[in-house]
Amino acid sequence: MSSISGSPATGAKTRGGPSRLGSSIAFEWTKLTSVRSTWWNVTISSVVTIALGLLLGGSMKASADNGYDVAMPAPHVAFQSLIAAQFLVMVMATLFIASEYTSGSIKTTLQSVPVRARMLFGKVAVIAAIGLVIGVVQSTIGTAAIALLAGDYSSFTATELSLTILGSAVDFALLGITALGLATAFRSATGTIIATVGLFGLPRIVPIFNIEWLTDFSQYFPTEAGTVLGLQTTAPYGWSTATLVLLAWAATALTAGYAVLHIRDA
Amino acid sequence: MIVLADLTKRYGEKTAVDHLSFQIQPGVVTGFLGPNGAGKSSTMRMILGLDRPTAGTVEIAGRPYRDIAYPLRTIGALLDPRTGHPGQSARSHLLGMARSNRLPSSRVDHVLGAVGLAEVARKRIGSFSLGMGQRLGIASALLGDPQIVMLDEPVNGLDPDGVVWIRKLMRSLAAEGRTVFVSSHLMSEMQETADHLIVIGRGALIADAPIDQVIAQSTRNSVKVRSPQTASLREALERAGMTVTTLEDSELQVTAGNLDQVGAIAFSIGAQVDELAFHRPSLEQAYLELTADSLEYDAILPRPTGT
Ligand SMILES: Nc1ncnc2c1ncn2[C@@H]1O[C@H](COP(=O)(O)OP(=O)(O)OP(=O)(O)O)[C@@H](O)[C@H]1O
Ligand SMILES: [Mg+2]
Repeated sequence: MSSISGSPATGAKTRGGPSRLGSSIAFEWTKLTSVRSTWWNVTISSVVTIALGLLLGGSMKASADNGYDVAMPAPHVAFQSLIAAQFLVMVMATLFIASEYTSGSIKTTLQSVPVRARMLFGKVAVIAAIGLVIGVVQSTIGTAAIALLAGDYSSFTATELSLTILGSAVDFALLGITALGLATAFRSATGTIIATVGLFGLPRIVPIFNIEWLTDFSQYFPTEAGTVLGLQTTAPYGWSTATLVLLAWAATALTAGYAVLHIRDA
Repeated sequence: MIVLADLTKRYGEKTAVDHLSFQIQPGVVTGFLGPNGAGKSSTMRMILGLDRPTAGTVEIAGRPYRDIAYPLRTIGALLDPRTGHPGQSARSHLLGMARSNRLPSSRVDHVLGAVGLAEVARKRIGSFSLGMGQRLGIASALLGDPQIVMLDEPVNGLDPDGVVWIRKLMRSLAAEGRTVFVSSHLMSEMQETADHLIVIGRGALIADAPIDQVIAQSTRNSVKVRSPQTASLREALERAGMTVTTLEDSELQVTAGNLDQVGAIAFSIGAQVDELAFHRPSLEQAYLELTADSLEYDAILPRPTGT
């Protein structure tokens, strides 16, 4: 039996607060990127975005050629087609923690990073970064796919494009964090995904009931706020309120997740 | 060193760990024994800060687990053969752990080699057999080259080579001055590996002593004596307060007495002694005796059916 201390265990790097946080982020990054389902998720949502973009672009061109007025800036059309991509980012964030409870690897995680807040922050940082990147990439490829087929009928300005890219990035990152917080609280993928479907679907269903306060409230659901950012609309509120609304959802979900993490046994 | 003070854990109504206080010393292998459901795994989860104690404290090298900046460098543990995400490769699982505690990636390759998983390092953990999973768990425990190693039923699922390997590993870790704390249900294995034993039953401490002492305290330590005059010898031994059972026509088993005493009594009554031997019980016998009263899940024997 060879001794276990064959190579030095301690690196030469200095210790300290920020580096502990950094190592927890590196840990979570390694986990997320070394699991195949992450890459499937990214691939599927890109394929869906491109396919939807081509479909929308093609039908815009066909309608416009037939004399209908369907002209709309490509980035805005693209954002509306990103609903599947948004949902998949939330699924990714959900599985990021829920699968740790299913597989039992949460024990390894908390053994490695025992401070709950630091562990959760590591995951938040990784999901935020991934969400930002996916938001940028998806809105860009969606715009390109639409512009490719719709041509002049989807002309847009550089400002429109940059604002939609920025809005998507912020939207995706904060949606991801919201799902992460919910999944940390629920500890189950099924429960969290049902809640996510509710967050997406309720604003569409609620107006049917014609209850005024409920309809008002549903305007503050994350997808509605995300749409304000993606399309740069001013109703029902502007971009600053929309950002605050998304931040509030993310903060609430994270607080719930942290509370459960703090109180319950692993 | 691990120090438990008055450690208690209740899950709802169920008291899994009941005011446990003991210390686990470096330089020796400490075996952690107890019937199913005695609270061994619960105790270990609290040591690692995974479960929150209802009362009491645990300190590892003087600090609670959560206060250790890079805990894998201080204490390595195997709790469950299911370590890691099934979709991850063994190597990326360990690499993640290494990054979390700022360990160089050379440690990953080193421990993979040490547990014999180098060839399957890039295979998905989900495809591993129980024994391979167990080896990966041991690799995770050794990753940070820790001074304290804690293993919950490490030989579970290992082949005979693996069992021998684990035994040697634990012995060599202890010989290097590390703290080794290991639970097991395999008494013969423990007898060969452990120096010190902690025995619990229903969450409470039953014994905390060197293994030799645990065995020596057993009432099953006995003297076997063979003689043609068993009847008179038996009477004389019983008069001296010893418990005697007749094994065969010419053989007696004597407890609560030692060789000298039995020999002297035989001599005093002029009995011929053909054989006189000391019988030392196995750890298993001593253990069964210790825990007889605290079995959590006692076997239910079939009742005779009557009409
Ligand atoms: N998370 C939990 N929730 C409820 N009860 C639990 C929990 N974990 C353990 N228990 C109970 O606590 C008791 C101790 O269980 P534990 O797993 O610690 O025993 P053990 O000594 O490791 O047993 P074994 O030898 O079978 O592994 C058992 O009665 C078990 O049912
Ligand atoms: Mg157990």
